[in-house]
Order: sequence, then C-alpha cells, then structure tokens
Amino acid sequence: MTDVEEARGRWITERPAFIEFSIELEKQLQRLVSELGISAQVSVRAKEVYSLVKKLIAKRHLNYASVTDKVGARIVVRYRSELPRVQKLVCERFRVDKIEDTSGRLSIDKVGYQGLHIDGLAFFPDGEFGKKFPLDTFFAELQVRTLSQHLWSEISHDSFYKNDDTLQKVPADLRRRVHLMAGQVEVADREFERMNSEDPQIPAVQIFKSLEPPYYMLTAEKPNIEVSMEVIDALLPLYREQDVQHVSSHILERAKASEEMFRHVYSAPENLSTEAAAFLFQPEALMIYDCLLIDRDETVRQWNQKFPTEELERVAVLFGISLQ
Amino acid sequence: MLTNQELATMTVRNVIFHDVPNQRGDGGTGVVLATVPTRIDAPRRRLLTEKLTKVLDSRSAYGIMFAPGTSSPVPNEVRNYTTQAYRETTFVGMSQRLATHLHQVQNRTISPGLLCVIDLVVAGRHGLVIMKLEREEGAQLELDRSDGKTQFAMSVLQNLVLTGGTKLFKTAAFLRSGPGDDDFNMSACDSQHRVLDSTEMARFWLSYLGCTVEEDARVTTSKFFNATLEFANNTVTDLADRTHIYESLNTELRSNKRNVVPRDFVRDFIPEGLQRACLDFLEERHVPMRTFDKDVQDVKSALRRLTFTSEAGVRVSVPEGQDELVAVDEARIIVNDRLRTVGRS
Repeated sequence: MTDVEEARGRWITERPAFIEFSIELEKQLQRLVSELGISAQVSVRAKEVYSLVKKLIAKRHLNYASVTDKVGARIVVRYRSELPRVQKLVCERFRVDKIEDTSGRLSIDKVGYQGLHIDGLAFFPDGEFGKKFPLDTFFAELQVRTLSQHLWSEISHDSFYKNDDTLQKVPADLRRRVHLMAGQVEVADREFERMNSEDPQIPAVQIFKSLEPPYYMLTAEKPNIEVSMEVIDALLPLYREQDVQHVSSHILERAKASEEMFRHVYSAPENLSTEAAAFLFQPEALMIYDCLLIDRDETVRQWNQKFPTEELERVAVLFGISLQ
Repeated sequence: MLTNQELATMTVRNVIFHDVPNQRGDGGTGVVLATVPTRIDAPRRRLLTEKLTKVLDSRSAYGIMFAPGTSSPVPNEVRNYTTQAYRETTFVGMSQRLATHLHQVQNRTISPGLLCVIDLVVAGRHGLVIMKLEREEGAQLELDRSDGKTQFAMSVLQNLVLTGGTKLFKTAAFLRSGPGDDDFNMSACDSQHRVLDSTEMARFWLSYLGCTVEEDARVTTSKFFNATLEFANNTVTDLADRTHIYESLNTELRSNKRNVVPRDFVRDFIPEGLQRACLDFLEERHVPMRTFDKDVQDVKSALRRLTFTSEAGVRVSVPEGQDELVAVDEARIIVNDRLRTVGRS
C-alpha cells in the first residue's frame, strides 16, 4: 500500500471526529468574532478525503502526520484594523503554535498575498473542549484576512500566479500585470480602511456606525443598509434635537442595560427562523427598542408614515413590548 | 408589573385548560377538569408567548399585588406552586384547584368560560399565568378522553387564544422575584372593565385572584418615606441612631437605584433591637415589604436639603424652602429654631 493510500484510509476513519472538532471550533471562533462586535465570515472545514489525496500527490514531501491543515479555519474581516484585534483574542482563547503575518514576507517594493496564518490552533488542554479534543491530535490552520486579501487569495489560488515559483515561469509583461493587480487590491484594502474611519457627517450614518458593534455582538446577520438609513432618519425626531452623540449614547446605554434580554432574543432558535421579524436583523433594532421605551405612541406614529405597522409589532413583541 | 425584559425572556413550559361553566343548580354540566396538560407544538408555543406579551404589556394591563386578608385561595396556590420545581402532577393539581375555585365563585352574572393555566420560567425564576377565556356560544371544544385521561386539544388554544386578533383576555401573571410570600412581579389585564370600577363584574377578576391593584410608585415611595420617618421620630430614642436612619433614608431615596426593598433597608439601617418593631410598623402603614419601583416625585422637596458647613466642621442641614431658619453672617451661623433633642454620635 502506498503512503497516499494509507493516509486516505486513515483519514476516512478519523475524519468524523475531526468534523466534530471543526463544528466546535467554528462555534468558538464565531463567538470570538461576536465579542469583538465586528462583521466577519467564519468557516471551519475538515478536508475532503479527495482534497487530502490531491495535496499529498502535489506535495510529495508531506505525509499524513505532517499535513497541518487537515482542518482549515478562516476568518474574513472587512477592515485591516480588525486583523490585530482578531489575532490578539485568538491568542488569548486558543493554544497556537506559530503566527505568521505573510505581509512580512514581502519587501516594501513587492506586492502579493497578505494575511495572517496561525498554525496549530487548538483548544487549551485544561479547558472544556481540551479533554475531548486533545491538542496533539486535533488542531487547525487558521487564516485571518480582510475581504480584499481574501479576493486576491481566492483568485490567485485558481491561477498559475499563486507563488513565486510558478510566477517566475511566465513572461515578464504578464508577471508585471500580476504585480500591478496585487498592488491595486492592496490599495483598495487600505482605502476601505480609510473610508471606514472617516466621519461622513451624516447623522444616520453616524448612528448606524455606532450601532454596528453592539449589533454584531448579538448576530452575524448582514443588515440592509438602505433600510437602516430610512429607519434611523424616521426615528431621529423622537430624540428632539439632541446631537448625534447623545442619541447614540442613549441607545447604547439602554442596549447595555438590556444586554441579557437582547442575548436571549438573538439566540432563541424560534426567533431565527425564516419567518423571523425583518427588523430584528438590522442594527437599528436597538434604536427601535429605545424609541419604543421613550415614547411608544410617537414611535408608532413616525413608523407608520413609512413602514408597515405589522413589522414594528413583530419586532416589538420580541422585545417584550406590546403595541396594543 | 412584569417588565419588558421579563416578557421578552419568558419561556412557556406547559399549558392546561379547564372548562368552567356557571353554577346552574339544575344538575347540568359541571366543571370539566383536564387531567393532562394540552400538547402544544413549537410554533404555537411561540405564538402563545407573543400573545401573552401583547396582553400583559398592553394599555389595559396594570400592576397587582396580593390582597392582605383575602379569602381567595389563589395567592397561596401561586406562592406554594412557584417555590417548587416543576412537576406535571403538581401543575395539574394546582390548576384544577384554581378551576374549582373559579366555578365556586362564578355566578350567573359572570360569563362562563375556560380557565387556562400556564407554567412559565424567566431566567430561572418560576412563574404562572392564569387566563380566563370566554367560551363562544356553541363553540366545540375538542376533548380527548382516551386512556382514562381528560385533555383539551391544541385546537382549543388555537381557536380561543391565538386567533383572537387584537382581543385581550382576563389575564394575570405572577413571576417570582425572591423566596418571600410577596416576592413577585405581578401584572393583570382585563379589557372589558375599568379596573377601578366598583361593579361586581369589574371587581370579579381581582376578587377571584385575591389581588388588589398595585399602587402607584409615587404613592408607595411616599408611604415608605413617611412611615420610616414616623418610626424614627416616635420610636427611636437614641439621637445618633435616629440621625443615622434619617441620613440612610435620604441616601436610599436619592441614590440612582431604581428600586427600594424595605425589608433590606430595615435590616441594613435600623438598630437590631428595633428591626421587628419597624417591620411591624411599616406593615401597619401598608408599606409593602417586597421590592417596589422608586418614584420620589412626592417627597422630592423633603429630600432636598440645604447644608451649611462651618470652618470647624459644624454642619447645619435645613429642609428645602425653609432657608429663613438659618442666618449666616461673617462669624456665625445662627439657627432660628427651638432645640428639640441632643445626642452624641
């Protein structure tokens, strides 16, 4: 039997346990991202049997034991400034072997794939899951990237320009275009970061941005931003000329005081079905709750000018509020 | 009253219905007591939770408290039941006794109907909802009597509770807030009658429950303040102790805390030997011992005091609006009042 065949057989036997490990790891990473209050895509997968076989064929120096990404995890964030925050919390919550910032591989006049690679990600042995998934067997390779870095990684993965070895073989002009493209992606990445940190001086946007972190601590569901802007604009008059900072503080303080309730509402399976209240999965749900407690009648009046009453009723009742 | 947060985190555990007609005295159909809770599926459980929120937080909802000296067995049933862990047999037995009592007190002037009893839990705290549902004329109630059991079908819940649109029901909710007899957050709803009307029909629901309308937070706060002051003035002889009570009362009511727990206040600030007497006195003045929401609107001026402090540390504190009692010149603080007591602290 060849080494590859033996590895294949072993992986078929052992993979179900690694799938269990993947499921738990994904839950924990999702929780970690929620704690940071950021929007991120989290995925953890145990390699398919055929993927492992192909990897062992492509990289003959590897064997079953030395394949470190039998379980691959990925966190894709929106902005570069979120990368170190994720890295810090991952290192606090998990045992890690090695962290590599791949942008460190690139000299200042080079462009190409960037992102964080974390090898040997495992549960601490004395923790709740450390006993069930001992770290000498159950570990994963984690990649943490921005969306732009992810775009470059995915495209290059499907092309011949993935690494320097293959790139050296292509004509110089094509090589130059590859580098120009990688540079554009990095410029876009940095520009998204800048745009996010600049204040657009639009009240609805300012309020929306202040509501994002607490919202993403409760759910990973993506909101509809157009709807958010309309709702925030419609409800702002309830705060009677107060400046944006006061309005945001008021909503956030109320949300903090009701944190336990919000956690319950956003984790109850019956609220997460396809029939869920539409406005539950909008950051301004926190503002709706605040407004209903400030002045229920006025909130209903403002709401009814633009939106269906039934939707307000649906979300209100989840927050323990009756419009009857 | 049950708070929005409590309603939002409430979980319905079990539901049972009993058919309670009026007493006819002609040997007609009597009360039909279910022996098994009604089976409900997850979607209807969710709809029921939402319905309860809509009713208990509606404009027709109001805070209630157990009426002292009531002859209704409901308060004790609620107290006993909610101190125990959930057991189906206990739930069924308790609900049957509530239905039997309703049948006993429900005369011809009161609409007959079904009694629905709901076991619920909020953040580990045990609670109970009692609902009286009117039975539509000729309505068929699906009843399963197989295997020696009596069980109302889920369609009863669907038809009488969940498809009622915006209809509100006679409802009462009791949620444990502590281990004491009166440690409950309670709400009631009765859409048909103004709760303070004096007609028999208007009073029936509260009278059956053995409850009264909870007084306004302003009134309770004021009663607590005045009764505690009265006790301090008339019963506490040591001036240092009395001053300590005044200051503690002032601090308690001016703090950012949203609630007051008179029993805790007595334990923390009244001298040990006088605690029992103080509790009795507060009860005599109808101050509730359980937690109540604080609203200092009516005692605001009594809490506000002007304080003069001399260079040597002498402090003179004057009730608001009576500044004329104190005159201040360059070298003296003169108090224009008669001395009442002196003490050493």
